[in-house]
Amino acid sequence: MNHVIIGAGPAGVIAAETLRKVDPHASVTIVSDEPEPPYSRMAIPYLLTGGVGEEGTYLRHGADHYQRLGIDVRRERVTRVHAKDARVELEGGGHLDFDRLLIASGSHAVRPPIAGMDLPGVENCWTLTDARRVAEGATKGSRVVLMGAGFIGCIVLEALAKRGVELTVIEMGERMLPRMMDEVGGEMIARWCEAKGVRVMTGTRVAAVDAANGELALALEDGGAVPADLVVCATGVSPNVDFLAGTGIEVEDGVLVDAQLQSSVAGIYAAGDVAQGPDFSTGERQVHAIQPTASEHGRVAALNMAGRRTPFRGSLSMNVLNTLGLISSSFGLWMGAEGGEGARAADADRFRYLRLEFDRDCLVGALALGLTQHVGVIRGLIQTRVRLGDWKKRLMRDPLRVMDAYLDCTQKRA
Amino acid sequence: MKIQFKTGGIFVEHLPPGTDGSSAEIDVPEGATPIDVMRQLGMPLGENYLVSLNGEVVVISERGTKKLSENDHLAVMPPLKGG
Repeated sequence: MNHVIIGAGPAGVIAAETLRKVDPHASVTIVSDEPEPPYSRMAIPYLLTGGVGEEGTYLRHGADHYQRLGIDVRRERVTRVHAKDARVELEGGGHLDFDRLLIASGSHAVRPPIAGMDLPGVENCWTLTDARRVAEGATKGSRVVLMGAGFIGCIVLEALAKRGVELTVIEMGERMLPRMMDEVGGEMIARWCEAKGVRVMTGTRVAAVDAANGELALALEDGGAVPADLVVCATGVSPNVDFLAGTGIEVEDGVLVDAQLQSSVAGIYAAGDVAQGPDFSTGERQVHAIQPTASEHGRVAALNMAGRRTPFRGSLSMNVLNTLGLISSSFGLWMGAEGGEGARAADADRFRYLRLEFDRDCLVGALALGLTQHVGVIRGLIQTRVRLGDWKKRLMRDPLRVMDAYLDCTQKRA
Repeated sequence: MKIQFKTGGIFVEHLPPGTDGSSAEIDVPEGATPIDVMRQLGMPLGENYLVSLNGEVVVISERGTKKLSENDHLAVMPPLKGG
């Protein structure tokens, strides 16, 4: 069996290792167009704060890790997939034939269509190449503007602040983390950041970036201007799918995959940021561009590629974030389920907030701020769909008792 | 002619008034391209959006030339959050 994997992020690497484990005689090839050994984008903030060197971002250590496993890692760019001929075309002129193909090509950073976003000094913070440029520009005391206060933006924010830059964050949404936090949580995180010396501008749109006299200036739609030495853009990502044009592989928000993570073309699978697969909470197909989903996708796709029919149970949309020491997390249907009920407990002075969302007597979504000890319990309650019974009423009155509810309900079950 | 248009996230605001959800049937001139439709809806013309026609990827270089037909399904998806 000839397995070809496009992409060397967590999904691709875990798929390759899983394939090797369950199919020792198969040929396994990873094709990646990045120059470094397979690495984790999630480690880039630690690189920027000096917590790790570049080697510290590598997914696997030991120079011969892949060679030892008989996994061929090739630095090439896939330009086209010929589904009928079961062949991928490479930029260098060669090609690879496959019996099973995994598309784990990930996503790329997207800049908003604003004038001046291509100026020198405007950088993404997505790849190791980006990280080197950001590190060069984000020197102590430099004026850095971060565009985008979503999940990735907030991770980068933490790293930039630790580098001692004079930091302004601009978010066009009405609050920080508009797709991971509600108004209460977003507001608390903004106040926390401001207290740590970060200037936070929400509900603010950048009209253009200009360069004059060796510095950048962001012109705002409301007429204001913000000067900068470096602009870091973290305004979202989009899946890498261009090479799939003309293949018949169905896409929407990403490559549409079924419960076995197979695309609309038999023998071709997708995993990670590029895959639009089953969502745990809704059963609908969604892209979850998060590392836990990438890892699980990689494992399950590989088992199916090797002929071990394995259903993917659906990925839970979840994020856990550390913003300058304030831990926030979001799970599943945190904005509420249709016909469901929710409860909130907030302590603004101590930066603590918990929101629970129920569907009948099951927990289906949650937000937590400043409450790290609840993260595992909340995830457990949602993923195991524990029936809370009478505990739901108690949690509606006092959401903070979620730990007691978990212990009581799971012990009863056992 | 009529086409089925689907989008998501922040782009939903560009759908015709009264649209419920993230897709709508819209009227476009004969021979319209994906870019024409995005212009008609007042959407930003960023290059990095995922554009698909009847489920197939439309690469950037073809978004201004590929002509749509009656009842085609066009999707323009905004960037996603990630982590």
